[in-house]
Amino acid sequence: MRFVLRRLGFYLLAFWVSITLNFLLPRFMPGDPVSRMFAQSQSRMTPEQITQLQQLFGLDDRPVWRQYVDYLGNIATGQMGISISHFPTPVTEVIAGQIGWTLLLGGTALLVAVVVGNLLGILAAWRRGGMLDSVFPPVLVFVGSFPYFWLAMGALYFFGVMLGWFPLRHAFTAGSAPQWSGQFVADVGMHLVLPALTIVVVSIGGWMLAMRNTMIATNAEDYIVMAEAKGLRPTRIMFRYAARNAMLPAVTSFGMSLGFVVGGALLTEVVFAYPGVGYQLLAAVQGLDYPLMQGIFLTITAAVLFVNFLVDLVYVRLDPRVRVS
Amino acid sequence: MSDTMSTQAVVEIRGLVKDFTVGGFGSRNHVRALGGVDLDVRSGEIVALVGESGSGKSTIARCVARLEHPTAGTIHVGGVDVLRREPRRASRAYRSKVQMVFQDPFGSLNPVHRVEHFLTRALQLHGKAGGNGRSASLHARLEELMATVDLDPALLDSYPHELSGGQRQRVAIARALAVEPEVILADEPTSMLDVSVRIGILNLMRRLRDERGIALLFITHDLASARYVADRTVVMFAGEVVESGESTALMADPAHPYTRLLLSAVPDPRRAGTFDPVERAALRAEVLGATSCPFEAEGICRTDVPVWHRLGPDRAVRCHVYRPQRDVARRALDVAAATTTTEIEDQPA
Amino acid sequence: MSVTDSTTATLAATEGPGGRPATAALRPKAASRPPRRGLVRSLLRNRKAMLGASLLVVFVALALLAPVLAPGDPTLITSGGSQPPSSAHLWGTTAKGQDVLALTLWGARSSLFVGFLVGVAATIVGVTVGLAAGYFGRLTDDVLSLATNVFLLMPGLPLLVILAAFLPPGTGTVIVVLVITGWAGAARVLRSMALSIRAKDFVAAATVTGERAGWIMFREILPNMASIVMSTFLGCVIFGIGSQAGLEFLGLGDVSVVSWGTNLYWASNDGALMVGAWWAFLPSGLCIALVAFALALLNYAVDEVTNPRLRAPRRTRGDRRSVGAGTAVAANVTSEETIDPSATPVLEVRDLTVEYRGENRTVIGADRISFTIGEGEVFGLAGESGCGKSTVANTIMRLLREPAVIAGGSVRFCGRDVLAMPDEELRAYRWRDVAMVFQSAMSSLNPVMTVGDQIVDIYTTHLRLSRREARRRAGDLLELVKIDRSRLRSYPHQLSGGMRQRVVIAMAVALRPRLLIMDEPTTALDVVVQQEIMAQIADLRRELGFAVLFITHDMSLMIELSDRMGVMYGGRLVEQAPAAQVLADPQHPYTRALMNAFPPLTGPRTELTGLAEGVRFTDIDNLVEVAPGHWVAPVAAGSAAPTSEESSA
Repeated sequence: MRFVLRRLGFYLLAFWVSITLNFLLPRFMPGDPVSRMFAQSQSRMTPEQITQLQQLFGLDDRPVWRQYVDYLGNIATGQMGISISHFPTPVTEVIAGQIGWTLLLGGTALLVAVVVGNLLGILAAWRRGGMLDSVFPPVLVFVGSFPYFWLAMGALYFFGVMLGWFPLRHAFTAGSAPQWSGQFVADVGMHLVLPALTIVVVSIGGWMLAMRNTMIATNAEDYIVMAEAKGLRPTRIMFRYAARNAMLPAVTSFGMSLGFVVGGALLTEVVFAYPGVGYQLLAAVQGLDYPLMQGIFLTITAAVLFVNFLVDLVYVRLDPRVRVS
Repeated sequence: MSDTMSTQAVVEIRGLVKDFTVGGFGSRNHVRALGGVDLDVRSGEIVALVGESGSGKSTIARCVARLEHPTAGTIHVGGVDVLRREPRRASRAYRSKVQMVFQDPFGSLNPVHRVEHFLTRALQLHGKAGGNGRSASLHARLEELMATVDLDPALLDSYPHELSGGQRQRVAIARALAVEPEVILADEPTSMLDVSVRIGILNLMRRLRDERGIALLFITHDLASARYVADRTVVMFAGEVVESGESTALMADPAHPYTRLLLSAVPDPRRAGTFDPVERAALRAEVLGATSCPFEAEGICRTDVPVWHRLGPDRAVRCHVYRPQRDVARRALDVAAATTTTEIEDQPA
Repeated sequence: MSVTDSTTATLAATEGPGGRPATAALRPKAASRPPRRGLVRSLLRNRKAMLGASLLVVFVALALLAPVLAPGDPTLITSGGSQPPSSAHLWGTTAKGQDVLALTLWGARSSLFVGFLVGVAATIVGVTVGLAAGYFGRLTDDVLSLATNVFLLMPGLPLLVILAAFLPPGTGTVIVVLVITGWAGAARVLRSMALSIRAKDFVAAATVTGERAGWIMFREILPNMASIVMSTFLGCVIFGIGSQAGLEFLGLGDVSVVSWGTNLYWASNDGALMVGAWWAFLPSGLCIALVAFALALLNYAVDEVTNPRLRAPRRTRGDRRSVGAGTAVAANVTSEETIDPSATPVLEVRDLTVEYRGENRTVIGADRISFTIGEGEVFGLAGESGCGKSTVANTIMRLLREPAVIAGGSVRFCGRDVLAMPDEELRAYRWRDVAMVFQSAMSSLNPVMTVGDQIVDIYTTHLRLSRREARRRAGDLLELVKIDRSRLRSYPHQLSGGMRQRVVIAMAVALRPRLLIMDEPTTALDVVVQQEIMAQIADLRRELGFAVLFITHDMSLMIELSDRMGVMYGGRLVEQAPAAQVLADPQHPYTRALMNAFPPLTGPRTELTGLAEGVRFTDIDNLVEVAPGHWVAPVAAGSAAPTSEESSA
């Protein structure tokens, strides 16, 4: 319990750091990019909207500490300003409309990559010197060396443009309204295949190798030799003794690598024009939409931190040593 | 041997207390490793500090070596109150008086340096490199050091991983000797070595005492080697000294039940009839059992620290009835078990 | 590579063979080789490393030679747009009409430069933070590792994006931004490494010698981190190159700079793929992948060199189970062996030879070992680390792993050939016929399973009991070794060391085996606990009547507990006799040296001698019977004074 509370405190601290970073960036960056944004879009805004944005970006005369306190208050109450590119929709609404697609894409890809990658790693370590152990790792390392977006474009070109197997862009066919029908779900599924596949292909090698290496280390542990000496069946030793223990570092690295996966998903979304927050983030950057940019950054950070916290809870379940200490 | 020793104490420890903080960030939990230890080491004598793991014997050495900072108490070296004079960290002058040899010769020699490096650094840092520190006299010093610990000077060019465990420990001793210290703290110097070369290291320690008059604090869990090499033996239990005295006399007639338990547990086929599990179980029960102290009803053992009983010249035992408190004793006998590797290595911090 | 070098084999076998082939094998040839150069040299011999390094060299050379190979400004429009590869433009042209080959060559300059610089800078920051946190510990460590972990958790690319969006565009910005987001990963790895090195005794030893903090950090700790610093650096370069490309692809870099990332940005912006101009898109991506692959290979090779276990094992003639596979009984079975008093020995080991076949040399772990253990007998096997006693024990259980190979001899349990058992029979033989207590109780229990589950496993596997029944039996078993049955629910770390070892012993006798192997069962324990454990075993033996193979280096303990014993040295037996006989009249000088290591607790103090440093017995001959049941290897007259002379003047 103390462990969980400590971790929770840590995540809150991390989130506070990212909020502070967000606060500082527009105020202390050279070149004053925010003023440019105002110059471009001031004409469309109401006076209240302008004041709110000015407060958000520190373009008023309040002392910095005052600004900071107000800023924290705004974030806490979910006021992240108005999106410039989606004028006049509030940032929170823009994000709310898109986060679902990112969760769908990222979640699916992550799940597949983690499960398949770890299974491959377990098998490779168990059958040392086999096909899986000698051929797969270098191949997967090679594939994993490609930039996400490049593979995404390649897949788009090959499977989408040339073969025409999968749709080229967006999360569902334009014109169809989101609904719970078999047809629509199938449509979404088809649109999901290519982007998810690219993420899986690039990230699976890392999972497999990490799992394989931990398994190899675990296999040398005395308790594995003991399990073997006890006359247990190989499958039981592999899953109950070796994999169970090798999973612990995998769980930790799962949390750690989440940030990377999010980054990959973001790039992939851009290539496929997938309507998630990643695509939106780029649009915001290009449209000098600073409020939206910052909102998306905070949202993604919060999500990553939250999942990490969930991972910690799982870890506590898995490792009795943490539970007690 | 012990008759001719000078009576002047090189190291004088009084009331040494050491608490370790356990738990993470900002934790207030303490574990008492040393509960007020008094100990003298006189020049030209070997004092063995024996006890089981967790008894606090290594902590004493690390406090004297200034690797740990004691919570309370004083340490006098050569009559100087070192904790007062150098409160933050030890000076080089102090280091040139007190040296330490570690338990694990595989860990105490940095694998990236040659043997020569260890000795040269020790000589240079303490101005013992000879003359202006140039090669000829330095080399003579190095060869002399190697000869003192019975090593071939050709090994000066070797890396630690090319040496055997015994050779490494000799290099570690030579490094300690290089600064010409008054006292060497030897923390289980033989326990990680192959058994067939252990006696050689013990003999080397005896020789250093006899020929150079170096005082040695020999920390060990092995009563047999303590008896073999030490003039005096001090028995520690649960962070306190429970008995001390001339080694052979102490082991021939142990006064404290813990000492007796410890002695009886040492396998020694030459002691006919002492391998008696029933007797040892009884002793253990005696150490752990409720005290039969007549003052127990008044709770004197809880409120008063047991006094030292002098059992003869140079011989003392602590405790009214030669018996420590029960809960402390139980914890101490179990502590070895509880403190082994229960930490999780790569837990997300 | 797998051919046995017979000369080194004998050399190694006589010099320091045994159960730890890794260290033993290093000794002979390692003379005056600094370990750090060892890393480089091992990398030179590693195929992955060589492939990676060559790829890198090619790319660096191309980048450097770009002005020569493709002179002039690569962004100049030289022909019509979107031309496929031709003799004029080997790799075709972009939609604007620029030469793709020239762009790719020039792009290498910026990409490699940025990647390398990010690698250097992030590694330097990481090393500084890691070393400071690791060395100073306490508050410094708390603060620094907190900062590291916070940065590590921030999703990298979004952070990159907003940093880059606020900063003025340019290569400098890209580098700064990448270092800000990349240092934490390096710092985390380096900190934990520095922490573990900080805890080593050589750091304390340097402090005691009088070294200052700066020296200790940079001259004592840092050199030991060479390989991890290198792999961190490689990782940072990969991160740098990949992230730069990502940023530029998003248009967040300086799009006027020619780099692989901007090439792809333009290719995507110009819709190269939509018009089928794959040539504009392929080269830059491939280059990024190849460079990253080369770096990853190098990194992987560093891992393999520092942790040889990761290397894929060579497979010996398709025989995965070569280790435990049955071997023909050697033809020349010598009859020098003691005739065992009891008629049918429980265990009969004949001329057992085990080799550790490394890539370069073969080390002999056990060399023509023969002994028998009778029904209910306690047989001791004494010797120092690396003498091969554990190798023998593991062979009996058929637990040897690569690279160990049984080169000859036989192991018979009640007349059955253990080495020839098929898998199914072997599993039944293990634990039911012969059980084993391993050296360290802490590590032989699975830390994440309850004690109960680990005992239940035995019953459900071997006796096919229901879980409920198995649990009941497991509780009885714990009570047999005087542990409360409520402890079934405990995890190993919740038990004291003595308790854990008792649990392991209880597990060993769960199926009432005829033979119990105990490999240094009490080395990690204090004497009082050791005594209790040994008494416990004696009790169980009285009750269950199993025979024991008892392995230890503690001669006193062994003589007290064994009926007969053998002394091993360098994979060979040098003496074998009843325990009382060894105590009264040890014959071999090595046996005497072992005995002397345990001074008596009674009687006058006399000067004892041990084995002098560097003394080795070589070419140990077969045992000769010197008294009934007392067998000794003859000692050559030349090696008469193998003990150390510690004259006290």
